Amino acid sequence: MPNKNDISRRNFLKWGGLAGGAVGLAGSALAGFESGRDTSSNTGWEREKYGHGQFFNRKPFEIDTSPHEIVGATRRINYEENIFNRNRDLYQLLHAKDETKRWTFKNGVEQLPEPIKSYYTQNPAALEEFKLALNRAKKQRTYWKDVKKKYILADAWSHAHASALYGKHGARFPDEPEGTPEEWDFRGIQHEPLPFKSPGHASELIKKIAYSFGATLVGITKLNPDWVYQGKLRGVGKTQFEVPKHWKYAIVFAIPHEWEAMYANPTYGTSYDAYSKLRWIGGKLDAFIRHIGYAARPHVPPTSYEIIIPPLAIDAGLGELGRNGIVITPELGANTRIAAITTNMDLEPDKPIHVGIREFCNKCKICADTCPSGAISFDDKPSYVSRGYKKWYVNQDKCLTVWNTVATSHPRGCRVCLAVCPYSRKNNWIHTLAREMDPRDPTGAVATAMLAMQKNFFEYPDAQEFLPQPDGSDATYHDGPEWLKTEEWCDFNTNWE
Amino acid sequence: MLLQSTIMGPLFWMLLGIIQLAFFVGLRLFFKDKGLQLSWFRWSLVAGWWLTTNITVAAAFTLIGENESRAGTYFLAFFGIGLLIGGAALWTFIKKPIKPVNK
Amino acid sequence: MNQLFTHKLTKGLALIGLCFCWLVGYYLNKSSQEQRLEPYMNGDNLTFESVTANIYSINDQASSYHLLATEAKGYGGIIQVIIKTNTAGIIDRVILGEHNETPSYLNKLINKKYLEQFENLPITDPNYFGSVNAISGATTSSTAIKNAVLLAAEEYNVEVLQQEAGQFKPTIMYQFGLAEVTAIALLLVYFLVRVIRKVPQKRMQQFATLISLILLGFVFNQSIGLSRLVGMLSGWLPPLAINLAFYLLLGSTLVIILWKKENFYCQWACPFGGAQNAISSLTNANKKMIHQLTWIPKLFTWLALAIAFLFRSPELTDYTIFSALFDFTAGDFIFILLAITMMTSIFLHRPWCRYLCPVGEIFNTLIAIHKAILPK
Repeated sequence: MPNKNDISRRNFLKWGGLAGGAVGLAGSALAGFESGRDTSSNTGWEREKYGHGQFFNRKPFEIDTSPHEIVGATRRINYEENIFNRNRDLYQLLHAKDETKRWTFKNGVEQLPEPIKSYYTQNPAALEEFKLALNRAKKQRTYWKDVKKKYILADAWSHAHASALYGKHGARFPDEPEGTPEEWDFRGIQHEPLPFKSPGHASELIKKIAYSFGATLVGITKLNPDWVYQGKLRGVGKTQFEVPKHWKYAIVFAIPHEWEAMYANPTYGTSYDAYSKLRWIGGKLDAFIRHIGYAARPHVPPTSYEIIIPPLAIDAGLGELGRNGIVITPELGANTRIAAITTNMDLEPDKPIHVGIREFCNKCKICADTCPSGAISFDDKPSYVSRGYKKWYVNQDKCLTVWNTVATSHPRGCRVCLAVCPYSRKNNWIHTLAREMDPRDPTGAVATAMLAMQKNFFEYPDAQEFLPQPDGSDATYHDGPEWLKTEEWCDFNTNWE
Repeated sequence: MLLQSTIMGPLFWMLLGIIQLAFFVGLRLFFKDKGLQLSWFRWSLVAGWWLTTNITVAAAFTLIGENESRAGTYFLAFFGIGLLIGGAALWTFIKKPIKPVNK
Repeated sequence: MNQLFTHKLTKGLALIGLCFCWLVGYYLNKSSQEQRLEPYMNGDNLTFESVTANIYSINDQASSYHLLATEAKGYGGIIQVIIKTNTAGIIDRVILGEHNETPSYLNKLINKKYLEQFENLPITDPNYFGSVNAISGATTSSTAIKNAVLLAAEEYNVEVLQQEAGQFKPTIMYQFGLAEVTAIALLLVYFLVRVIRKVPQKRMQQFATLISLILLGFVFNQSIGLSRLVGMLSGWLPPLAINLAFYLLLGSTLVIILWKKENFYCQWACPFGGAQNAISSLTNANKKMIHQLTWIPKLFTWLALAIAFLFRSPELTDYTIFSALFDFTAGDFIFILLAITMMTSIFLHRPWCRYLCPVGEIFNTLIAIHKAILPK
């Protein structure tokens, strides 16, 4: 006679098993459906081309106040306040073909032309630093000969991306402007501007188009004239100019660097992978907008800008100000390379966001600790007033000197601060948890726990170590990707040069 | 990668679900054999502990997968030891008989 | 009889061995200021003269300069500080020489270019030193080095320039806070329990060590570790101002060893003991003592002390795991030791205290010696 307990246990298993089976079947159905619907199966186009790269929901964190801390009167940024503009002018003067126009450091600041004369009179340390940078560049070329074998693949990869930027006749795509913005931005327009159902519709469409061209993040904002460089207008020349009326809105888009190479900055990573992609996206978006009847002008790297883009990206709600001056986004962290299109389309702008990134920078300081040039401020809160806006002070000139020092074939960037920022993380579940929990936590406990784990579990090279020998050891945060490490693929038996 | 594979991916998750379920079936029988009676509260503590352990191991190995092996190991060691101690404490707690509620 | 004699002989030899290492270490590590400054005197056709014991004037082919040797009282001991000035007293560089500090703290100073702040300051003018800012996260080390420079400046001004004394006042920050209050509170608890005796002792011990775990452990990281003890035994006293809690705990322990022949620190005040107690009570760990293992802490402590004395380096052999748990700062080996200790404490009662801890070993040895000399 079977035991009563046996019967009830068997019954339980029977019904439980059936119920479990039903659940399992439903699970299979779900898995099947997902598999068909998910765009990650669209080979070659994957998820990012449909905007899935912008996976962070910004709606709960939009703010109506300015994302910038404004202290006193603000003004437009000047042409010479961008270090590349300054250095380019100096470099051209140092190497002027016409002997009478040539300038040397011995001539002193008085013999410089405006506007850099005023700049260097007020900032003599910057001029000294540039001199140092030039000397370092010479050493860099010599040092490269010693380390070429190790980094030649990475250098070739960088060069490949860079070669897409410039050709025989200058910038390849998009073309550099010729003539006034009123002429250039409207070129090729064949018909009336397309009548959108609403500015909201126009914004949504232009974002989808931008995604289809390869943008990871897209945001729209009204153009704040303070972000327009005063003193040089592409297509016209070095001149003072009013911000053109048709530069109404800016479409700001962002992509990350290739992650594996980026984590091994400065030697294995490059700026050019992002630069070339951004130019491609910007140029296509520019052509698209003009083809539907609106004016457009791309502002793309490395130097085709009238606008300083990071604060524009902050206005567009892409991210917040970081300690190192970069706009730090929830999806990409400091691995955010940006560009913009100015247009007269009637668009609905996005709102800036507050997700706690700026507050996190107050305590973190990992970029400041790791910066090989010590250029990043260690102050807890932003204390430097730049044209009326408060930010953390970053010494541009010291930063550039390190560009001219590290073990690359020529000065092409450092980007260590991008790699070590704790926000620069890929998209998997542990980082999603952090991304979503921290902004919603009013106590700051999540941020404190994240920072404690970041500082105690993770290892960073000392700032010095990123420099070449003998000062450092050409260190990188992560090891270089195996597909860029020459020693994985090549044997140098002979005297290879 | 196994999980990105179109066939093996879904199969993996289904198998994992079955295994986790089987674990709890077995655990229940195990407690029964030890003569331990568990309330719903104690079961949820056990389930919570098991869930936390799975998540901790998964997180540690995610870090290792991201080429942050030092961080992953330290994470596992730090939280893992805490979980071991917590697990031992939980085991001591479940062994205590449930006090009957006085009405 | 034979066993007792062997025991006593071993203990005697161990003690003598330690004293021997201490003496050898003393003579090996004595160096004159001249030896210390030598690495910084470089150049052709070098001549130097000693202006005072710590100040040397150097002439070489390229230049003339002064080297001032001074000492900063850091956490781990003395930090040798060398100041190079030109003949007019303008500081050229400040260099750190030998030290026993935890590398991470000094690295903070180096990374944030603390020493560069002293460059081009005149050592003859006390007003300029106000502009030197301590590095946040390493304020004690920063202040220690600044005080060392001020000390050298004082000597330079008084001895060389014949100025009046007292112009360069070092900053003494007495840190009396919650950590020190906790140390006193634990002592009070001990007295109350030992005097009143109505409250069960075991419970109060658990409670006291729990408070210690939270406050002296995780909040303040103020335990008695081996390095400060060895430092004291090597003839260097950690400065009172920044080590009040340490002195309070140590002082209380020594007094109670003398008076009651009991180990106050291990039983009532040690934060790591608190951690061990907590785990043991949560997991019902086995309280039986494994006598076969009790030789381990004796051997390890003896080796740690002997080597530390020989090389006069208190940090070198400090294998205590307290900072690893409470500050997450330690070498990889210590972290592994901590992990093993924590896992073992799940099923054994206080394994670190019983089978590894050098601090407890030292205190228990003192108690044993006291009992041997005065059995009552």
